Amino acid sequence: MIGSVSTGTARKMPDLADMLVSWLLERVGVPSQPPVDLAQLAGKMAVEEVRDAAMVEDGRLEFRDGRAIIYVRNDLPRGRRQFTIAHELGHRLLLHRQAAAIAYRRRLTGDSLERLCDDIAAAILLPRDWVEAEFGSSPRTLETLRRMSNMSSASLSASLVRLREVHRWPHSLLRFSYVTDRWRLASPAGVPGDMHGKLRTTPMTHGVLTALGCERSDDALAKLPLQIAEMTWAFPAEVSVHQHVAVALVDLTRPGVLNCDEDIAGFLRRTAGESKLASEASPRIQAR
Amino acid sequence: MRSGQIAIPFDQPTENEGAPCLYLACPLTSVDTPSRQLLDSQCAHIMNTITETAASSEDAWRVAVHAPIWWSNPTSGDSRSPEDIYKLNSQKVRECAAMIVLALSGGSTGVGQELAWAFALRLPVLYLYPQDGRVSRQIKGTPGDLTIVAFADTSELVDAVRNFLRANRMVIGDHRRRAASEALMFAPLRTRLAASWHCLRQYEQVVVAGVARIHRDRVSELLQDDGALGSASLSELTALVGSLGASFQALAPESELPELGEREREALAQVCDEYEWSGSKALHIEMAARLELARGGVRRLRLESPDDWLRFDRYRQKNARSR
Repeated sequence: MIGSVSTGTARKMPDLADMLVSWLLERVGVPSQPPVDLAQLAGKMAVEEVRDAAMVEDGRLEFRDGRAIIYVRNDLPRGRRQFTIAHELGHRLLLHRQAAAIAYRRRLTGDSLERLCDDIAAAILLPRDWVEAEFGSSPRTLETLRRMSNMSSASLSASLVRLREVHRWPHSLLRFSYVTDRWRLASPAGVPGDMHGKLRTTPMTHGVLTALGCERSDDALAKLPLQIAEMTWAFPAEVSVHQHVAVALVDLTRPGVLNCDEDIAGFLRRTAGESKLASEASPRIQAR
Repeated sequence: MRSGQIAIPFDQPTENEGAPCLYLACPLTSVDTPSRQLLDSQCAHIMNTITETAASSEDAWRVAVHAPIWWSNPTSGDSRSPEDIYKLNSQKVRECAAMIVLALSGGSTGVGQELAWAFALRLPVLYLYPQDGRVSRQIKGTPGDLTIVAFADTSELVDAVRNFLRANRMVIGDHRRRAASEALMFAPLRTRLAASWHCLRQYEQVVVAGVARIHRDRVSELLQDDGALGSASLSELTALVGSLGASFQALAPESELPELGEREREALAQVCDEYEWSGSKALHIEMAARLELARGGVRRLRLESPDDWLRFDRYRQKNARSR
């Protein structure tokens, strides 16, 4: 029952989100097994329609003439679209008269309200119990992320953030785009707070991603050079490179020192040996 | 409404919670005994119609009715003070989701006051009058959610109420959610003003109320109830805020252009470095983002990764071209 949610304790926001969502799903009678039927859930929450529209924001919740409508940006990738709808349902949930009181007692500001709605979206799309049962013993690989994303219709990024939360994965997910002759960082997910906004690509990053793109079409283990606060480090990563997009599952908690005088070819030669050793230690990755 | 979807199940009251309430207003003080008996009978018809229409709907719901004719009738030996009656009725109107006015002989000053409260609260109003009666042109000309219906007999009265209830079901059902949202919006301002007011000594409160030209009881009313504060006029609010020495910005906390958050600024720096954006482009897009954020509303505008900023930039460019 929502009435039993204590806001006076030092309960973390994801826990609160999980509790709110399990209360919600139970109350409206929607199964929590992914993929959660968002259209059904929206209908049960008196959202009359989810409508695609050309707009600058990802999503918007509007009340007109007593009707609730969710608008979603019409060019969003599927996973992000799902997350956006679930996020707006989070706002709808918090406008419930009982939940509203909780939100106010927590003194949520705009930003923390948005974070809570993100947590609610994650709890809707990727229920904690399901993540615990289904992925507790899964290898920490891109393939696991893809499996989770396929099963839940959530994006790879949302899946990674949820695994960090539930199973303490230390990884971050970095997506790169090949734009005007260079690989550039496009979207980081699950980056530790103190590194947020501080990651940069370097010519070495470009070199490694280009080399992997030429050599491999499957997931490959590599040392990925990235710059943080003027220093370049090499991080252990599993990388998948396609024509214009590369995705890397990177452990940013284990930086390796780069040799300042080393060129890209030398770096690749040296780290290839380390990656081979790592591949042998992870037969599940090698088997793909 | 789509098939299979029910009205507001999410906000529908459980057994222990209150149903949305309709306020049934009619003249009371200056009516003679036969008129009062007629009003009593017609009010009973209206109440039964409301209850039965809601219960017999394909998707049944519950509606309560508050009628001063039964709760604060001056002829029933009621000894409560005028202040008590004002407090009771004004609070009830604020709690109600809609109003029905039964106007015999053109209504009364009390009904007029209740109507004004209802319009200020943006409630749907059904104004019923006997076919041989007349409606004030001022009432007819009021810009609000007003439905005026003349009735010749009880059956027409019942039809009018039934139609009003069906047409306004969504609004009435959604009232509780709107009230909760408004309470959330006004609670911080009310709390701040109440803290300033209650730390004043009694004579200081008299001075402040005098400066604001607001009765002390009205100040107490506004500061006790988020709904009352929400229905206050801007004139009252500015006077109260000014006389309490609070900043007028308190009334419009969103009036200044919002700053970007730390994560948004970091991501902007990231996209500038990664995609070689110039300084002038960064400044322009930062201002554009702040303007966009100032639009407010329940919306998800993420600017926390280079990709988010690239998307935002593409949207701006596309919009500029289409203009």
